[in-house]
Amino acid sequence: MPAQVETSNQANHGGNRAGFNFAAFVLGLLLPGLGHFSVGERGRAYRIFGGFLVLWMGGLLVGGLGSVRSWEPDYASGGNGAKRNLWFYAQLGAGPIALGFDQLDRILVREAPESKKFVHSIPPYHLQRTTMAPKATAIGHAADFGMLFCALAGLMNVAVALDAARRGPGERRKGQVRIRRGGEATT
Amino acid sequence: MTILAWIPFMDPMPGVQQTWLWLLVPLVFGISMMYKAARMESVEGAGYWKQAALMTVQVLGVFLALAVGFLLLVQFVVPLLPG
Repeated sequence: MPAQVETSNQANHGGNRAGFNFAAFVLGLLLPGLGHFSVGERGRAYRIFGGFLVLWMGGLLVGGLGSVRSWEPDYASGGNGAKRNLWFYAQLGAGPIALGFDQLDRILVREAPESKKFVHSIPPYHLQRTTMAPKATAIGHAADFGMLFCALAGLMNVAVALDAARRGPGERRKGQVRIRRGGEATT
Repeated sequence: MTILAWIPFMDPMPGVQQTWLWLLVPLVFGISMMYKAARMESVEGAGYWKQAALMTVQVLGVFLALAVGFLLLVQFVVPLLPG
């Protein structure tokens, strides 16, 4: 089995791949596709950025600005104070874009003036507790899918940035590799 | 009337609660675009879009097959289990 794995890796990597290109990885995290752009794969970079936009802007379109937020407001935790939003860690894969949209959400939605908020009841309802929630608040599937779109955009970007880091200048992917029983690799 | 008051990218999209399942299509297509852009030998030409569309259809097909499988399981197999 180890011989097969080694053969598979050699076949996938063409046997002469460059080492880990840290600069390309960081550039890929700073802006989706920039890592590939930096190693000369411009066509790939544009398509990666296009795919990222489909996911990221799709998430914002579905869930509004609240799709990207590092802290959940008070109303989201049943009146127990603000809490960290774990989905944001996945969204952070988009780098500064995620941080920028989080700040936009903070300024325009979470810390909106009281006139742009409404009184929101929080469970358990028999205690009749209330808090203030922004009017631009996604609930249900809109909130779920908005966060999911942006989280997947971030996670995919990390994978793509790693791909850029392992790619030599002008390198092309090999065709699909099949491993025969004897450990011999064919394309 | 709800859509007239909607501010895109600020407010959540109206009507999602009833039609959320269709959001799987752009979700899977976006993932396919990024995946195929990184994995294909060459992304020039129409082959890239064809491959991205094909992957989208494949993933959605598997979702559909899983849904049918679970439907059959819940509707027909589970009721046969001893109570």
